[in-house]
Parts: sequence; structure tokens; C-alpha cells
Amino acid sequence: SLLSRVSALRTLLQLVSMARVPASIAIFLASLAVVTSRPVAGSRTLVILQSSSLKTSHSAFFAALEARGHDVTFELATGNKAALEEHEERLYDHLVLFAPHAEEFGSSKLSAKAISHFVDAGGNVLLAADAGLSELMRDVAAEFGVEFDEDSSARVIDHFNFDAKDTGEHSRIVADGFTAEEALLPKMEAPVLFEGAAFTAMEEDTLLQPILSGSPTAYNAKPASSLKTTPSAVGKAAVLVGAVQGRNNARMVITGSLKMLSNEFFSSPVERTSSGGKGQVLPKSGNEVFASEISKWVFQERSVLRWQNAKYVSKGKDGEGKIEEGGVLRIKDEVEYSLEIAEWNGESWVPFQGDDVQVSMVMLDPYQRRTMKHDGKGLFSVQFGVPHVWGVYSFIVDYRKQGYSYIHSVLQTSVRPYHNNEYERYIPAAFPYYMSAVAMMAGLFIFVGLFMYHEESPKVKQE
Amino acid sequence: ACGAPTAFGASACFRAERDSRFPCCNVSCNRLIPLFLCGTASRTMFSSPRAARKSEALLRYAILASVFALAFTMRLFSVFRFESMIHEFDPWFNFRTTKYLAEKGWHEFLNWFDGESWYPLGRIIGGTIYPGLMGTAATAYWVLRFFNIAVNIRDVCVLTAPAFSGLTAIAAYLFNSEVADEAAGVTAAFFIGIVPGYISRSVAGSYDNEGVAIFALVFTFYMFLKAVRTGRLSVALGAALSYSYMVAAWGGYIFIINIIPLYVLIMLLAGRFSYRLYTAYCTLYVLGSLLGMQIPFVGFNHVQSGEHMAALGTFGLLQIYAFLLWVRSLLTPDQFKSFVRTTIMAAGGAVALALLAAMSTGYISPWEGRFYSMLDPTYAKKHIPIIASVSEHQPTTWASYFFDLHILTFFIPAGLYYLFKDVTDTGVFLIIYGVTSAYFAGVMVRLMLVLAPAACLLGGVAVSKTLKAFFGMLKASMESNKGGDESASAAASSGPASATPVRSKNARRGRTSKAAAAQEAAQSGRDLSILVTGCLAVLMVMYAWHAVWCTSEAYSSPSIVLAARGHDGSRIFFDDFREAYMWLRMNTKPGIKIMSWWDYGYQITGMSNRTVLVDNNTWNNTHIATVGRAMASNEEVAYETMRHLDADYVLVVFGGQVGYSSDDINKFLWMIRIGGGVFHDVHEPDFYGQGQYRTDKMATKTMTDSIMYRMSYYDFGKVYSAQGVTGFDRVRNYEIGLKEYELKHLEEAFTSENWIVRIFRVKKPENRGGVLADPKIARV
Repeated sequence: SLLSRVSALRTLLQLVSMARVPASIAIFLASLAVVTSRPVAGSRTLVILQSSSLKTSHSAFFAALEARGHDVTFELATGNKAALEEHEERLYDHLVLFAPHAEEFGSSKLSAKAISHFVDAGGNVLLAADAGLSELMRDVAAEFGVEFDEDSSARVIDHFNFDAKDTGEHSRIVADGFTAEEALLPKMEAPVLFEGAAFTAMEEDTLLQPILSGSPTAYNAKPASSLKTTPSAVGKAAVLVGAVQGRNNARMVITGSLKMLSNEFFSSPVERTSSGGKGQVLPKSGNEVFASEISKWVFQERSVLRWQNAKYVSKGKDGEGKIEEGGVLRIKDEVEYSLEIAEWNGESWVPFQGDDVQVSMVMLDPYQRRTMKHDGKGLFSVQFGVPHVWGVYSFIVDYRKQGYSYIHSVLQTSVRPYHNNEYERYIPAAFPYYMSAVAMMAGLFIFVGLFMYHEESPKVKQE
Repeated sequence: ACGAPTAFGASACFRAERDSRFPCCNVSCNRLIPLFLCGTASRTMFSSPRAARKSEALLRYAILASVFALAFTMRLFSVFRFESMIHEFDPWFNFRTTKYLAEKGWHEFLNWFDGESWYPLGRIIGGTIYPGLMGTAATAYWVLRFFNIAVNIRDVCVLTAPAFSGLTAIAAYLFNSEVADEAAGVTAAFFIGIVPGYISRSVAGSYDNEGVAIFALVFTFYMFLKAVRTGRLSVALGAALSYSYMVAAWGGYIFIINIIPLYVLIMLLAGRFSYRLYTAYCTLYVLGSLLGMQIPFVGFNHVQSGEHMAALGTFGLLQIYAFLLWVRSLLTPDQFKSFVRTTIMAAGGAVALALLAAMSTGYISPWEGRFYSMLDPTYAKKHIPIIASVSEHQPTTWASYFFDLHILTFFIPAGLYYLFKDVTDTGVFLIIYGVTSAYFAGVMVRLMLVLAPAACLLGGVAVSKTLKAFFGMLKASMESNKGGDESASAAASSGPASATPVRSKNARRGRTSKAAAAQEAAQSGRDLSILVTGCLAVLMVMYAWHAVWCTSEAYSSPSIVLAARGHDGSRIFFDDFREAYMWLRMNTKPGIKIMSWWDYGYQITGMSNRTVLVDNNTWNNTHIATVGRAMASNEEVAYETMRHLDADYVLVVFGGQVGYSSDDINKFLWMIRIGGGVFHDVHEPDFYGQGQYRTDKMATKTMTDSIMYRMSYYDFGKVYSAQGVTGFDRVRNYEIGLKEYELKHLEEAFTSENWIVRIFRVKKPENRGGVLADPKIARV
């Protein structure tokens, strides 16, 4: 029986190790293959192509994706098999839409609504547009609050910043209006080449964050035609590449140019030219770096934040006394609020180093708003006084910094007034009252004594 | 249990009135009527006065015991018709707090900060309630538990008010024994045991402050009057203790602390000052105020609020008066006059100045709106819509006087007449109590409750005095008969009834003419007294009849379960409220916030155990107005408000499907008024289509855009209701104006069986688009 037990144990161990081995091998291989980064969660990527030729013309881009651990599936826009979700479950984590001219999807399971539902369910989308955008792609873009010029032949023209290889329309432009937010896009060494359409944010929509904007002289119009009205997008308002992050932290990047992600633009030199003359020549455009950075951002390989362990600790009066975690707070006490925030750097979670994370203590209106300090290990905390007004408060951290995923943490607590036995018992100002009470009692005692044991003298009676 | 003797005596009297030409009946009547008049005529039945007194006391206590039982059982209609449950709105709060108290004890209760109501402001329960009721019920619960009687806290709460009604009857007996005599006491006890005006607030399940407070009110008055009559310090101390219980139980103690000074003042003016009065009042005022200050909710009101200043002033006046009496005893009349002129005037001036200074610096608070509205019935309507919106704060109609007091309405003047005829120190008090409470009852329906005991006490005096007078006549005539013809009288009392008339006629023939005239007078007096006592008996039977009918039909409805009569006369129950509250309890996460009009706040926290924004404790008008404004505005504006207030669900009550008339559409006008009183973007006229408040085709766009309309009538346009019409509102009897629409930020979560309660979920903001930031954070 002992032998059988040992053998059973052995098989069990084998089963465990067998289960573990493939996973660890996979991780090992992935870490070998992925030099720079990988997505924080899920790497199933669906690429929908206008035509199969894009696979070769944009091979460098796809190769980079695969090198970063993406499990890429290619589908043609006309193909009838593609589906993003099945039984309310996402089949993919990321979607690349390289089909700017597709009038309709071959698959009945794909539509503008399906794509927006995919995003609402947490999927990320990279959408490449182009001049001559189809109605379908306009609808997809509109779901993300992005609006293209009604004239489909309009494209970005810049008579002062075009590339030397331009064909004469001045629409192969040299763009360097990068966003200053490093979380969105690290500092770029070289300008990028861009050829395609610019877009604008829809009215009242504040979710669109520009990654690349046009130069002050860029505008969006039909080439080689005289302008009768103001173009739909001019200068910095003409967004060339933009990012949208949903409230569920799903990310979308829309680029107005499909070509800027192509092998040709990746390797092309840049020679900034204007109508006045030629500028300096750079041997290689910034397109490859740019494409890599924006795809890392959109596929959650960078600038991803997560928070945990939001809590508050009551420190008692003047920050001393009993230290109590959670529960009901008392007015005028000190409270310490803390929260851990980590950032995904592409390989692992590292402590977040932001120094502008604020916490608010809110009851209808903010009563306290403090910037938290961190200890370098991702623990953000701040100590402050509980408001002097009792009620039900929420500690709210609503951190929405461009490029980073949002942090919205709400922690509800009650702030109570003093209990009836928590006030100071003997205060100097009340001593006259104590004295008067004691004097009254003593007086009454003496009076009663006198009253009871005093006999009226007969002398008075005689009178 | 007491119903039997009452009905027995009354039916006998009824017979007596009908057959009054037969003197034989007098005797039988004479024996039966005292059963409910007890003290007066029963004496005739016994030879020895001492034995008579003893047996009379026994009879009296037996009657009081049965009145107690009657008062208790009368109030159980609601339990038999429905079930043992807590009624209405406020009782749910009292029940919830009682449970808390019974579970956690006094210290926790006193310091209870409740985050579940008035989100996010919260409420300190211990400091904002009168804890008398909860303390009473919890103590009863603890005592019963201590003796291992396993009762449910709910049943204790349900039966608290009926039990205290029985005690009130006893207190009324004691009171009237002080004012008039025991007979008046017993009659008053009978009246108060079943008076509909009091039953309306004290049926089983109506677990509200008034249930115990009316007992405390009558008992305090009794103790005070006893102290006034006897001048004993210990009784005055008892009055102070009873008063402090009243302070702990109900805000109506203001009535006591104003009416007793008024009484003292009138006694002074009437020249009826006595040191007994001085002792009674000063003890009650000083100790009562000190004890009353121990209630956190009342606190320093006794010395700081305008409502209590009359008592303080009277206290001061009494001291001055007593001082003057003492000074007068030392000085000659001339010296005294000049002394009064100089010193007292100066002192009076100084006091007036001090009061003025205290008022202007705000140390003494001005009168509250509620107090003003008592003095000026139109005040609330003009200035405080939140007070005017409550139906029980409306002025009283004549019909409700008759409905709530029945014959007592007419006995009040009679009682006053008897008291004026024979003025006593204690009688004056009842006069003042009757007159003032009659005035206040006219101001708001709710205060009918204060008038009801006064009416019963006055009615007790009136009925017992009347009966006493006429029974006296009856007895006199009987005795004159007896003196004339012993044998006839003896035969009348003991022999067969049919023989009597013949014999007495024979006997009368032999009298002289003078004796015959006296006999004739006695005969007519006897007839009159039989007529009057008979009439009174009939009235009292009708009163009992009416009280039972009222209790059974009108006052036993718990209002959370609605009952209606079907076509075949059977009872149909609408249990929508409990269905919906249970749905919330079982299907939503703990801690979610529910927005509804304040009427349903207590019920939601009590039955669903969920957080509400506003409730029946209407302490923060602005918060209520915010909810009113949200209900009255369109979806976009309302959504902003709801997000700001963290509302997860919205609950509305809709009666259009079954014809339940006190629904939110009918209350909507008050939401608009209260909302408009604070926020000036809500205009009442915008909701009037062609000058009328309607939701049919004449309804304005503001009306049909409001979320109240949208939620109440959501999908109602798809329902074929009466007469083959879709969307026919049965409460307002018309077809609704707007039928087809969709909701954007709200979605239907639950609708009860008869559509009475509808619950809507507030959707989360869209994932994409719109303004990003949390509205609470974005506000500066």
C-alpha cells in the first residue's frame, strides 16, 4: 500500500509539473522573443485588411507586433468569417482596422456598432484612415467621437512642410506636431511622414487626445482646387493622429494616414521642403518609432495604471491616539488616506512615480483636496484633518492624466459628531457653574438644618 | 368585553323611553342604567352607606377594567383585517429605531449616526428624535424577555399604542375625578376609550409618538391638577416626571408648557391665586424644565426658544406676585401702593428690556414656522410649502369634527356650561384646555388628536352631570312615591311588573288634592327625566356604534397594504408596496442609494434596508427641493442631479393603473412648489396646460418632459385600460397626453403587480463621449 501511495504521489507530481511546464516554457520563450514589451492583458489581435497586398506593404509593422508577442490573425474586410465577440465574450483583445475604403464588411458579425461594443467590452482598436474614407469607416470613427471632412477627396495639404518626394499636391507632408504628454508618446527624435486625411473632434467631446497635430500651415482640403470656404480642419485643430480612451480604459488610436505605417514610409528619408526652399535632410523618418510607440500605447503595453488597496486610517485627534482602520470617522480627527498605484512598463508592474495624484473628500462638494506623496514604492498617501461637518463622505481619487489609464476610486465613509461622552468633561470656563452648584447644595443643606432644628424663641412669641 | 353591559343598559333604556307611560319600567331601568353611570344611583340598592361605597368602588374598577379592555380590543381591528404589521410612514422609522435600541442599548442609540438616510448628509438619530416611544417599547421588550416571554419586537411595537390607549382611559378617569367626580371620570374613560379622533392615531400597528404621548398629556394634566388641589410637593414632583416623559415622547409638549402658564395667568387675573397653585406650578416648571433639558433633541429650548418663554414669564410673574403678597403683609396700604409704583414698574421695565435684548441678539430664538402656523392658519400656505404639503396639516372641516368626535361635538358646550356654573380651580383648567384645543384643532386636522381627550373629558362632565341631575329627579319622585305608599313601592320594586300600574292607581285615588299636585309634579319630572336619560342612552349607543364603524372601516388601514371592495363585496388587497420594497431588499446591492419623494423614505429604509436621499423627517428643505427639482426637470438635467447625488435607483408611486389616488403625479405639484421655492429654474405655471394641472392632451411640454411624467407613464401608453383606450389614467380619469417615448439615462428595473410602485435604474455614463470628469470632482 505504501508503494501504491508513493506511485500515486509521483503521478500527481508529474501531472502538476506537466501542467506547469508548457506555461513556463511559453513564458520563457515569450520573454526571449519580446525584447521591449508586451500587452498587459491578452495578446489576441485581429487585423482586418483592405486587401492582402497590405500584408506585404505593411509587413514591418506586423512583424513588430508579432515580435512583441501579439498573436496576430489576418482577415480581409470582405472575408465572411471574422467576428469580434461570441456569446458576449471577446474573441480578441485588439483590433487593427486597415481597411479605409471598405464599404461594408463581408462578415455579418462586423459593423460599426459591433466595433463600438467591442470597445465597450474592453477591446482596443487601431484604426487607420485615409483620404477617400468610406461611409462605413466614417461611422466607426464617429462612434469614437471623430469627424472627417464631408468631402472624401480632401486630404492634408501643407505648402510649407512637404517632403521632397511629394508629387506636387503638397500632401506628403512632414509632421512634427507631437503631443507633449510623454505617457502618450515619448519624445520623438525625427519628424514623421504623413499622407492622408486629418480629422477633428466632434462637438462637446473631450475624450479625444491628439497625438500628432498639423503644423500651423496645414489644412484639410481637396488638392489642386481653389478654396471657397474655410477648410474643415486647419492648423493645430487638424488632428493627424489621435487617441481616445473610454471610461473603461479601452483604448483607440485613429490615424488619418494608412501609408504612414507602411514599410515605404518607415524607411524613407525625410527632406522637409517648403514653397520657399529646401530644409535639412534626415536619412530616416521617425515613422517606425512613431508606429511602434502608438501601437504600444493602444495595445496596453505602456502607460497602463492599476490601483489597489485604497484605505483610510483614523489617526485620532492631532494625529495621535488610537489608530483605527476603516469604520466611522469622527469630526476634527486626523485621517490618513492611502492607495497603491502601479504602472505597466511593458514587462512588469513597477511603482508609479506620478507626483500629481490627488484625493478629495467629498460630500456633495469637495471638503478636502490634497495632493498625495508617494514613497517611491507605489504607495501614495496623505494625512489631513477630517472636515468639521458630519455626513457621509467619499474619498475620491479621480486621476485622469493624458495618456495614462484612468484611476477612479471611490471609498465611502461616515463622519460622525462627538459622542455625548467624548467632550471634555471639566473645562475652566465652567468652574463658576460648578461652584454655584456646590454652593447651592451647601446652602440648601444649611438652610434645611436650620429650618428643621430651629425653634422660635418664646421672646418673639410674647411680642 | 364592556360592550355587553353597555348595550344591555342602553337597550333597556331605549325600551324605557318608548314605554314611559308604564311606571313599572322605571325600576328596572333604575337598576340597569347605573351599570354605566355607576357612581350615582347604585347607592340606592344598598342599605349601609359604607357597604354601598365599597361595592360602588368595586363596580367602578370593574368598569374601568372593562373600558381598558375595550379600548385595547377596539384597536385590534387592523390586526384581524390585515396582519400584525407596522403602518404608514413615521411608524416605520420608529420601528427601525426601536429595533436598533433594543439590540444595541441606550448609549449606542443616543450616539447613533445614521448614514442610510439623508444621503449624503446623514442624520444623528439620537439627537433628532423624541426617544420616549422607542424607550417605552424597548423597555417593555426587555422586561418581557427578562421573564422569558419570547415576544417579537414587532409585536411589542404593534401593541404599544393600544395598551397606552387603555392607560389613557384610566388617566381620563383620574382627571375627571379631580375636576368633577368619579362618575364624570368613568364616563370620560368610556368616551376616550373609543373616541375615533384618538383611535385614528392609536390602532394596533400605528406605532407613533402620539400613541404614548396622549396618555402622558392627560396624565400630566391630572397630576398637575391634583397638585393644585392638594398643594402637595410630591404630587407636583409626579407632575414634573410625567411632563418629562411627555417631553421625551412628543413635540406636542409645547402645548402643555404653554397651556399651564395660561391657566396660572388666568387664575391670577381671576383672583384665585393660592400657595397650592404656587407650589404646583413652580415645582412643575423648574423640575420639568430641568428634566426636559435632558432630552438631546430638546436641549436648551426650555430657556432659549420663543415657544417656551410664556412659561418662564409666568414663573417670574408668580414670584413677583408672591413677593408682593408678602410685602403687602408688612406694609400699610398707602406704603404698599407707592412701593408697587416705584419698584415693580422699574423691575418690569428691566425684565422687558432684558427680553428684548435677548431676542435681538438671537439668544432667544424667534418662533418657529410651525408655531406661527398654529396661530395664523394661513401662514404655512404662504411661506412654508413643505408644511402645507402634508395632508394632516390642512385646516379641519366640519365633517371631520363630527366624524372624529361624533356626539362629543355637542357635549363640549354642555360640559363648559356645567364647569362655568360651578367654578372650581380644577374646572377652570378643563375650560381652558377645551377652548384652546378646540381652536388648535380648527387650524390643522392633526391636532384633532389634542381636542379628542378634551372633548371626552368635557363630554364626561356634561353627560354625568346631566344624568346625575335627572336621576336625582327620578330618585326624588320615586322616594315621594315610596313615602306615599310603601306597599306600592315595594311591590313596584319587587313584585311582578304587570301588577304595579293598577295598584298605584288605586293608591293614588285616596290622596288629598295637595298631595296629588305634588304627585303630579313628581310624575312629570319623572317622565322628563326618563325621556332625557333615555335620549342620552340612545346617543351613547349611537356613539359606540359610530366609533366601532369608524375604526373598522376608516382607521384600521395600514396604508402600506391597500384594500378595496370587489364587485361581489369581497376584499381585494393591493400589496404592491411591500412587494417593491422586498424586491429592492433582495435584488440590489447593500449601500445603493434610492431617490424618491420624501414620503417613502422611512418605508424604504425600514423595509428595504437601503439608503435614501430624503425621508419623512423633513429637516433639510434644500435637499428635498433638490429632489423635487430633479423630478420636475427633463432627463438631461435630472441625470446631472442624480449623478451628483449618487442616486442608483429612482422610485415612483403611480396609481393610474388601479386608481390609487395618493400617487406621485398628484403629489407632483408639491414637488414643483417645494423645488421652485429654492431653485428658480422651476416655475409652477410651466406645468399648467391651459391654466390647469393636467397630464392629458392639455399637458405642457415641461410637464411631459419631466422625469416624473416619463417614469410614471413609461409604457403606460401601450396598456389597454378602461373603455378600450390605451393609457387611460384611472385616478385622473383621462387619457394621458404623451404615450410613446423612450428613456435615455433611466431604465425600468421593476414595476409592481398593480403598477403602484415603479423603480428605475439610473444608467452609468456612456463609455465614450460626453464630459469625462466626475461631476463632484469637477465642481469647485
